[in-house]
Amino acid sequence: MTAALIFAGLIFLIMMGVPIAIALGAVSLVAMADNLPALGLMAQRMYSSTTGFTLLAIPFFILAGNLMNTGGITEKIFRFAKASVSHYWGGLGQVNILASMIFSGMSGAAVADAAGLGKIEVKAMVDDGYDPEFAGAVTAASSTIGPVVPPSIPFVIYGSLTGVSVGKLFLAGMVPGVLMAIAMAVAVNLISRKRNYPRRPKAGYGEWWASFKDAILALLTPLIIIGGILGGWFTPTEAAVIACIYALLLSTFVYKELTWRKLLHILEDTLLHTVRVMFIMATAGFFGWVLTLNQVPQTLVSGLTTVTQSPTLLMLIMIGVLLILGMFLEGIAVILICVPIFIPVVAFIGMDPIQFGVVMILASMIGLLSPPVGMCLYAVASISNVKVTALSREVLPYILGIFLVMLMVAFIPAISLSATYLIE
Amino acid sequence: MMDAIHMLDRWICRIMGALAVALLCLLFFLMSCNVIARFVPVFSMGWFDEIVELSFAWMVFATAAVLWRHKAHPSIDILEGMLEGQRARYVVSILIDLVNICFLLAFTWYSYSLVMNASASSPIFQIPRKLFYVIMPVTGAYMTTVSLFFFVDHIRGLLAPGAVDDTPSH
Repeated sequence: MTAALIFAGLIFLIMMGVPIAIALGAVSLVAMADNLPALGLMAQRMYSSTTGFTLLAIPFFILAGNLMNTGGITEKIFRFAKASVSHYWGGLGQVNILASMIFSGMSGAAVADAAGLGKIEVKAMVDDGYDPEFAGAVTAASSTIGPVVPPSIPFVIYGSLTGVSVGKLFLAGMVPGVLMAIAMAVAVNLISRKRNYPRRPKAGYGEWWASFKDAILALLTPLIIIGGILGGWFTPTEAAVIACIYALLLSTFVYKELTWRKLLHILEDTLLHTVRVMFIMATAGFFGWVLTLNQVPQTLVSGLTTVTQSPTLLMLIMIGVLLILGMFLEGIAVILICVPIFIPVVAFIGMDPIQFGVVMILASMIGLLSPPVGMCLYAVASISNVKVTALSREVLPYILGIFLVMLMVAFIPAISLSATYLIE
Repeated sequence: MMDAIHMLDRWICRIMGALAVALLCLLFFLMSCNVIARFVPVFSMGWFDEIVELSFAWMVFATAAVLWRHKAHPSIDILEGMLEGQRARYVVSILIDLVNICFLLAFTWYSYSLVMNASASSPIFQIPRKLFYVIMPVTGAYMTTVSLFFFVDHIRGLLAPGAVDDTPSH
């Protein structure tokens, strides 16, 4: 009963328009109304939820993405992707996916990809004769590869909440990220054949080599990050700092596109995006503690297991809840709310929390593309001047692709877990 | 009177914004030094953890206050959008303000208690724990005050004859 009231109250407040962070805190306060002495720990819980060392990776991965967006690095990645795959069916659509895939290895946020690289991608596609709706849909969909391929901000958050190794989570996202890209490339190919979208002539070797030379320093970033973590040279948090130093050096001394004014703007933007997440984390820490104190996770596990004991059905129920919540909440908020509830269920069905982490992040990526609150839909709609409703129709084939990948990850552990054995 | 309050508010926002940017730069510098010190161990950074924790906490809560002032914390504005231009939107905004104020008052009070009860110090620099926590009641009080102003604004809007809401969404 307490659990039902907590969740009903939370959904009511959020839908009413109360900021998500405050809604989490307010329902926690009400749930603790009969235990006022314990509320003395509220501030302590909020403080400790925002100051973990692992969480420092969040501002630095956002900063790295912003530096790449402003420092001219994204243009070079786009040119390289164009020279590599634009001759296939749906040419610039395929370029869009490959460029996002490469950018994913440098930044951990989907919206950074959609808003930064997305501007170049949408403009190039529309100029080349693609429908703006198609261009916007491919851009929004491909941006969701970002948080699945390492580095990834949602994985940092999931790792800090569950105590699972962030390095292993990063590795677990690699194969599903590639599968997402393949699923999207197939969708672009089929749609482009049907609509007869233009194909570009294959780039000559000289053109490809020139674009590769131009982009090689930027292309090294994912190798540095993943190689550094795999080699045990640095932690994911330190990898984020290394990515920032590298992006700063590239954009200042090599590409020479970074000015003091731009840098200040980048720092402010980084803070904005970081703290929008961190303040929710603060109150979610309090919320998670209140749930534990009221034994909500145990109640939910026993409730669910009276409905069914089948791991497959329990997994499908959790996926269903994640997808429904993802339609109405930001991906990070879904993770923060669901992790304390679902982790006991995951333990009950004997699933690896790393594998579940990937499923959860894939579900939240579908949420980013689902109306009414798909953040990537809104980010792309604002840069492409396409209505969200038109975009949300056009994005359906890509959502189906991500959904299939998510089911594969949920039921075939090797897809996510095989890469994690690369580190101890 | 209101001009002075607005000016004070602008200065508080500027100072907290500048503080947060400075702390982000400091964190970047410290983290870079920490990585360098691992590979080139010419200097020790045993004190690193406590400065990082202090800077991170202050950066997060100072920026949270600035975002609060600009109504930039994430929220779902579907209902407000549906009531766009209608007087009922004021009623929803007032209810939201009340929830915000209740939570922020509790946050300010309990974080103030935390500061008052903290007695330990950090192991190396002997920084009192109070200093780590004090940013919470300070920003909590600021956010509560700002929310009270939003609340009064919405009450005025509701009572004003023929007015429609032009408050920007969160």
